[in-house]
Amino acid sequence: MPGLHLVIVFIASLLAVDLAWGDSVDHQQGALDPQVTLQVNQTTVTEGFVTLSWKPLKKELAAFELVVATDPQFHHISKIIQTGSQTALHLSGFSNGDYFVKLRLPNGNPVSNTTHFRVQHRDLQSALGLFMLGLIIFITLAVLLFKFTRSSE
Amino acid sequence: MNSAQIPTSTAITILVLFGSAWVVFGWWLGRNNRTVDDFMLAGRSVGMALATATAMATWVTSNTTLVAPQLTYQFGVWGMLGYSMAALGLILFAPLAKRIKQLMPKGYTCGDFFRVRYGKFAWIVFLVVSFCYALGWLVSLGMAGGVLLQALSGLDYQVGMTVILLICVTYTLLGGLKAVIATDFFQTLIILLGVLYIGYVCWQDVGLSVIYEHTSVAQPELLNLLFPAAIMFLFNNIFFGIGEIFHSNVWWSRAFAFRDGVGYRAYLLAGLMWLPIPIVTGFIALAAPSLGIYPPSPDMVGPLVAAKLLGSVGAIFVFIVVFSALASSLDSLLAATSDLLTEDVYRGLLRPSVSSEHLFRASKVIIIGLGIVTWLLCLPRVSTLGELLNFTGAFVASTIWPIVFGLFRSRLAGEFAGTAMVLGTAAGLLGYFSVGFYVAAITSCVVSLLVCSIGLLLKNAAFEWQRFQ
Repeated sequence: MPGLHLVIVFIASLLAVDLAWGDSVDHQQGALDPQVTLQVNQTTVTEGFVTLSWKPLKKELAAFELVVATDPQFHHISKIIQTGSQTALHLSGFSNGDYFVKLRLPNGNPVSNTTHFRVQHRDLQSALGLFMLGLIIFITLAVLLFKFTRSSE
Repeated sequence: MNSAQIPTSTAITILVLFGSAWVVFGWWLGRNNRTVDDFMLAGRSVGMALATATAMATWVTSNTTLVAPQLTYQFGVWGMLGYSMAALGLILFAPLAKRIKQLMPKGYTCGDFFRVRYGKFAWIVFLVVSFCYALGWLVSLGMAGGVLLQALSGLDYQVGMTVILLICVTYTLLGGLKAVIATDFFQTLIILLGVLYIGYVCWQDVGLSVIYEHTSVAQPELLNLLFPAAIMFLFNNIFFGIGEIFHSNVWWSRAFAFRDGVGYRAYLLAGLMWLPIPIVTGFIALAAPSLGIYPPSPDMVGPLVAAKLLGSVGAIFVFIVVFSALASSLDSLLAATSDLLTEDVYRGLLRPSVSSEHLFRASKVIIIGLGIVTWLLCLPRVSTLGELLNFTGAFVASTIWPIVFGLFRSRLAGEFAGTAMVLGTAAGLLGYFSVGFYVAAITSCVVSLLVCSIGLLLKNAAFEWQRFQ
């Protein structure tokens, strides 16, 4: 029955659009009318650490959960941090990838916009090259000092 | 008020008690100072115990107690090990200290060495490098004092900064290098006991396996030995530390002040004793996520972990340790920089025929002047000045090779030594701006070595060592 298939595909498409629209609306609402403005100090990170800060509009909304995920829909949550009375957090040790962050109340309702940062560590080859150069210069210095000291005695 | 804060009244009580004790102690030690040698170089008779303590305490700055945890929190295992490798500066300075005392038994400053060994051009370049570094460090320490006392106790920035500067200037003025070295001895004991106790409690209460498991999940890069930025940081920090120690009058004045035969052993032992301190202070930073601590700024991770582990007593403990670490570096830098100004600028450039008594009085006026200039520069609280200290990596690393070749080889000529410092600094600054702070020192050091090597190939200065006598 091709007609039934078409109906099923149509209904599934509607559901998919609805789901996507729902997420998008949630995200947009957070961005357009947030109770708290969440900021990240840099959007492209080469050292794996960032500082996130926010300003609560109402004092009673001071304690939040900071949620870090690897997708904008927050299906893959990597960290949930209780903020306490802090209005900034310095996070470190991130691997390469895209990260999405938002603040929510303990009951799960989001209260901030969603912010994003990308971690792209520096090239390992260059880092190892610099490491080897440093090692060679250091050994040269140590050997010369040892030799000079011996010869001056 | 966060968990690392203590009440302001408690902070003021601690400052008054410790400050008064150090000022009275400084006055008592300095009551018999009669000559420039007594005041600037503690009579050139400092023994092994005090020598080791002062070398170690001076190298334990606010950076060791606060930035070592910060770098561990940011760069992981390499950050912790890289910071502890700054001990190599002290260890490698040991043979230099012996040679300095041997070549210049009547010397006063590192400027004396550059003037006699390399001539005016290299001497002036060196003085510029040295003052840039000394002023940057002094101002960053003064500002760190104000910022940290405010962060740890809520004390107003300007009050905290003024109090810590006033205490250090007063006892340095009253007691000279004797007071600096003796207070360093007690400050070392406080710092060592404090750091070891906090490290022990962290190990007992949290445990190594918990820290490892938690970090490997929550902050995987911190345990990654192939973390690129951390790998780049490692040798840069080593050369920054070596450059700081090799060129600074803080360490040269101690080499002159130590009794014959003491310098080599004292610097070697101080380096070995200093090495584990950043590992302990850094280690506690790795425990932060396991304890649910995510600091608002990276330099607060150490105090927050200590306060969480030890409660309100821990916060007081941290306050005293940080205050001691700040004072032990600030007093040494004040004394050594004023020596350089007195000997190299006042006597060397302005009044060459000045009498010894006049110089003794001038050195005291210069300490007060230096304190006032530092206070004025610290007043606006330009927070980026602390970060500007990283610039000095490019400056100080350029001096390593001219000092090593200058002390042990007669061949290197002054024009090449001066050029090595100028080009090394320029290349280091280029690296700082184009890549990051973690390549400035190593770039500067490499370029300086190249210029010195060319100089050694092209010309033989045939310097006569007797000229130092």
